[in-house]
Amino acid sequence: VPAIPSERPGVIATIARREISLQFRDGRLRLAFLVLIAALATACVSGWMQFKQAAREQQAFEQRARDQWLTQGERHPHRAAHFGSYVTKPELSLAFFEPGLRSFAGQTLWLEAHDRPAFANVRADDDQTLTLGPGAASGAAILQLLGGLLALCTGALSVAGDRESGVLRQVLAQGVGVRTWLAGKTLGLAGILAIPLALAGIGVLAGALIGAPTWARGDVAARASLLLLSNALLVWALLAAGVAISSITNSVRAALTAALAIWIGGFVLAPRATAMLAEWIAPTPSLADYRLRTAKLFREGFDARGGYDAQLKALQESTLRHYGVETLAELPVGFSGIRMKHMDAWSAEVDDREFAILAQTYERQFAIRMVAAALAPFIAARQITQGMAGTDWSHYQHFLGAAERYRRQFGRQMNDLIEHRVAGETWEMDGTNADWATVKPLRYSIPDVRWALREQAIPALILLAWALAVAFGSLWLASRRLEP
Amino acid sequence: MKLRLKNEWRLFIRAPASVLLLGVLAILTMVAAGNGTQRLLQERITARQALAEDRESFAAKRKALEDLEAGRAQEGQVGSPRKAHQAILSARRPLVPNPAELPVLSSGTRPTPELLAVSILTRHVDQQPRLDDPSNRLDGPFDLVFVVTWLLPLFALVLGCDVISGDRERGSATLLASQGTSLRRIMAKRLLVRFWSLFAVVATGSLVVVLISERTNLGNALPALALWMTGLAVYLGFWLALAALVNVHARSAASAALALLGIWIAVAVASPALSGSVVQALAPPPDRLQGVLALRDIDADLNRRRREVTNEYYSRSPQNRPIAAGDEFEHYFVTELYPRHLAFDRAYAPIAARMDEARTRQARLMRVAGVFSPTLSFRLLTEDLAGLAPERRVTFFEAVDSYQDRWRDHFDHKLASMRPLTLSDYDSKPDFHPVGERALSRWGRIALILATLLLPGFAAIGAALRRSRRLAPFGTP
Repeated sequence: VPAIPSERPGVIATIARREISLQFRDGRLRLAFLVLIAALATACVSGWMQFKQAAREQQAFEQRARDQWLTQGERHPHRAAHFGSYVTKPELSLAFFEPGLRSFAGQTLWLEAHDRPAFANVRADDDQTLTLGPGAASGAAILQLLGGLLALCTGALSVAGDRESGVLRQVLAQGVGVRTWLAGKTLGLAGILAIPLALAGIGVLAGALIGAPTWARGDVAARASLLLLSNALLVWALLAAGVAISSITNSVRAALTAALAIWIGGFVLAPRATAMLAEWIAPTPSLADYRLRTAKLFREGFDARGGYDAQLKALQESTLRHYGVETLAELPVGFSGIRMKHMDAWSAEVDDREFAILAQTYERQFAIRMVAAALAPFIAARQITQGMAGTDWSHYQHFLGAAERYRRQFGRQMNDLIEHRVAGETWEMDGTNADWATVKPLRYSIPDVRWALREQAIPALILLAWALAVAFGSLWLASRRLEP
Repeated sequence: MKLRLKNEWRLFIRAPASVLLLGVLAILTMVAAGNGTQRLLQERITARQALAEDRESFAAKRKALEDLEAGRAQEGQVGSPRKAHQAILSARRPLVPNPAELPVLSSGTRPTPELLAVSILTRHVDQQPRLDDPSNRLDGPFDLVFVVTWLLPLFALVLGCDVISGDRERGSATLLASQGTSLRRIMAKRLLVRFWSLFAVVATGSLVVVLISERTNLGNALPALALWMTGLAVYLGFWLALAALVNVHARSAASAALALLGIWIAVAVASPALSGSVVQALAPPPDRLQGVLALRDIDADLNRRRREVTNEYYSRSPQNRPIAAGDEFEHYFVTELYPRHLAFDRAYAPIAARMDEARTRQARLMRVAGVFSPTLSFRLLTEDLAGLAPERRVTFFEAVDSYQDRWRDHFDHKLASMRPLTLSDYDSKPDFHPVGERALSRWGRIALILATLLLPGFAAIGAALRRSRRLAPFGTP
C-alpha cells in the first residue's frame, strides 16, 4: 500500500488507488461484478439476436405489405385507401441494448382513409399474457437496475464499514482531512464501478457500430456515447448517494437498509407510481372518445366555421359555379372525388386541432415524469437511454408525424383518381394496379443525435444536476457529520 | 408458547421501522386495490352503457318498423328499419364475456376483451389502436399483482433479515440462547409474527376490495379468494423460509439483507425472465405481423375474386338472390361486401385458431416453468383468477363465433335477398349468453399452478425447518 503523500490531489489519488486495490480483494464484490457482467453479456447477446431478427421480419413485412398494395387488383380508390398500407418504424442499432417502447407500441402503423394512424395496431403487449415485470431482460435495464443497486450498496458499505472496523479512526488519526479521504474513497469506488461500465460501453459501441449502416455510424456512435455517459452519471450519482448515506448513518445495517429503501423506492416503485400519477393527473383519452370528439367537431365545425354539411353545401355551389353547370350530374369531373378531397382536408384540420390537445396531454405526462425524475434519477436515465436508442415516445411521435403526412398525401392521390375518372355524381369506378403503383413508398429518416439531445434536454439536466448535487452534497455532509 | 408469541408481537409492533413498513405496505395495497377497482368499475360501466344503448337502438328500430307498418310514419332514404342492409349490416352488438372471479386483482392488459362489438360482418379486421403514451405502460400497472408478487417479498425480506442475525450483530444472541428457549423457536416465533402481520395487511386489503367490487358475485369470488389467499400464504411462507435459512448462517443483519436481496433478484427477477425466454424459444408467441399479412392476403384475394365470391354465395343459396337490383351502394354492400366477409371469416378462422393455440401453448409451458420461480407461479395464479389466462379468451371467442353464426343465420336471407324485415325478425333475434370455461379444465389449471407454487414453497419451509436445527448464537459459515 503506497504511503500517503502530503499534497491534496496526490493524497486523493493515493486513497483512490488504495481503495481500488482493497475492493479488488473483496470476494463479494468480485462475485457481484461477475453476475452483473454475465447478465449484461447475456442480455446484450439476446437483445442483438432479437434486434437482427426483428429487423429481418420488419423488412420482409414491409416488402410484402407493399406488394399487397401494388397487386390488390381492381378496386374503388376509396376502398383501396381503406385497404390502406402498412409502414414500419425503422430502428437504430442501439435498440438491441434498449428496446424501449418497442414491445408496447409495436413497430407498424396501418394507414387508411379518414383516420390518423395510432400505434399499437399490432399490439405486442397484447400477446405478452405473461408479462415479466420491469425491464424483463434488456441490457440497459440490467445496467441501470443491477448496476444502480451495486453502486448504492457499494457506497453504503464504504464509510460505515470502515467506521465499524475502526479503519476510519486510524486513517483520520494520520492527519488526512475528512473531505480528502472521502473524495479519494469515492473516486476509488467509482474507478471500480467503471470496470463493468467500460465493458458494457465496449459491447454497446461495438454492437451499435456493427449494426448501423456505414453512413449512419457517426450519428450512432454519438448517440451511444451519450447513452453511456447518462448511465455513467446515474451510477456515479447512486454511488455518491450511497457514500452520503454511509457517512451519516450509525451502522452498516442502517446504511444498507437506507440504500435498499432508496433502490426499491427509486427503481421498483417510483416508475410505476409515476406512470399511474401521469395517467391520473393528465389522462389520455381513449381512441373511442378521441374519435367521438373529432366526429363532433367535424359535424358541427369550430372557430365560427360551419360543420361538414354546411361546407358541403358551399362546396357544391362553388363547384357548380367553377364549371358553369346547373347540377352536379352535369359536372365533367367526379364530384364524389372532390367531395372526398374536401372531406379529408376538413377532417385533417379537425384532427390537427384535436391532436394538438392530445400532444399537450403527452407533454403534461412527460412533465410529471420529469418531476418524479427529480426524486428518482433512474427515470431520467432511462428516458435519455431510450431517447438515444431511438426507442422513446418522441421518436415514435416523429415517425407518426411523417406517416400521417404520407397518409394524407396518398389519400389525396386516391381522391384525385375518383375526381378524374368519373363524371357527375357517379361513385363506382375501379382503379387498377397501375394506379396503385403511382403511390410511392414512405421514405423516412430517423432524426439525428442533435434532435434526440434536444428532446432529452430536461432529463439530461436533471441527471447532471443529480450527479453534481449528490457528489458535492455527500462531501459537504460528510465534512459536517462524519465522525469516526 | 402463547406468551412468548405475544411478547414477540409486542416487540415487533413497538419497533417504529416495523410499523412504518406495515403502514407503507397497507398504503400500497390500498392504492393498488383502488386502481384495480377503478378499472373494473370503468369496464362495467362501459359494458352496461353499451348493452343499454344496444337495447335502446333495437327497441327504437322495432318501434320505427311498427310505426311504418301501422302507417304512422314514412320510410326514409336512409336508416330504414325495414331494410336489413341499413338496420342490421352495420349494427354492432356488444358482447360481454363471463366475469372472472377476481378481476380486481389486476389492472393490466387483458388478452380477453371485456367488451366486444360484433356485427354481421367480419370482426377480424377491427383494429383497436391506443392513443396513450406507452411510456406509462412500460413498467406495468400499479395493481395487486405487482404489489403482492414483487413488493411483498421485499417487505418480508426486510422484516425477516435480522430475526437472529440482528442479535448476533448486537452480541445479544448468546444471552438470548441462554434464556431457556431455543434460538430455533425464537426465530420461528419472530417469523410467525412477521408472517401474520404481512398476511393480515394484504389479505384484509384484498378482502375489502373483493367484498366491495364483487358484492353481486360473492358466490364465485369468495372461494377463489380463499384459494388465492392459500397461494398468498404459501408464497409469503416461501420468502420467510428463505429469510430463516439465511439467518441460520448470517453473522450480521447487513450480510443477511444482501444475501436475501441477491436471492430476490434471482427468484423474482432473473428466474421469471429466463423462464420467459426459454418458453418463448420453445413456444413462440403468435406472430402478429404474419397474422396481418395473412389477413391482407385474404382480403386482396377475395377482392380480386369478388364476382366469383358473389356468384358462389348466390349459387349456394339461390333463395337469397336479391329481389330488386338496388342502387350502386346496395349492390356493393349486399351482393359484394356481405358474401366477401363470410368468405373472409371462413378463410381466416384457421389462422385465428392457430394464433390462439400458440398463446395457449405458451401459457401452458409458462405454468410448468413456474416450478422454478414461486414469483412466476404466484403471478400466474393471481392473473388467472383475475381473468388474464388465454384459455378464457379462447372460450369467449368460441362463444362469440357461435353467436355470430346464429346472428348471421337469422338475418342472412333477408339481408342477402333485400327482402323487408318484419317485427318477428326483430322479436326473435338471437341474444348472446356468455359461457364460462369447463370447470374441470379451469380448476385443473389452477391446481397445476398451485402445485408449482406449493412445491418450492414447502421445499423452502422444509429446508428452513431442517437447517434451523443448526442455529447457533454465532452463526455458521
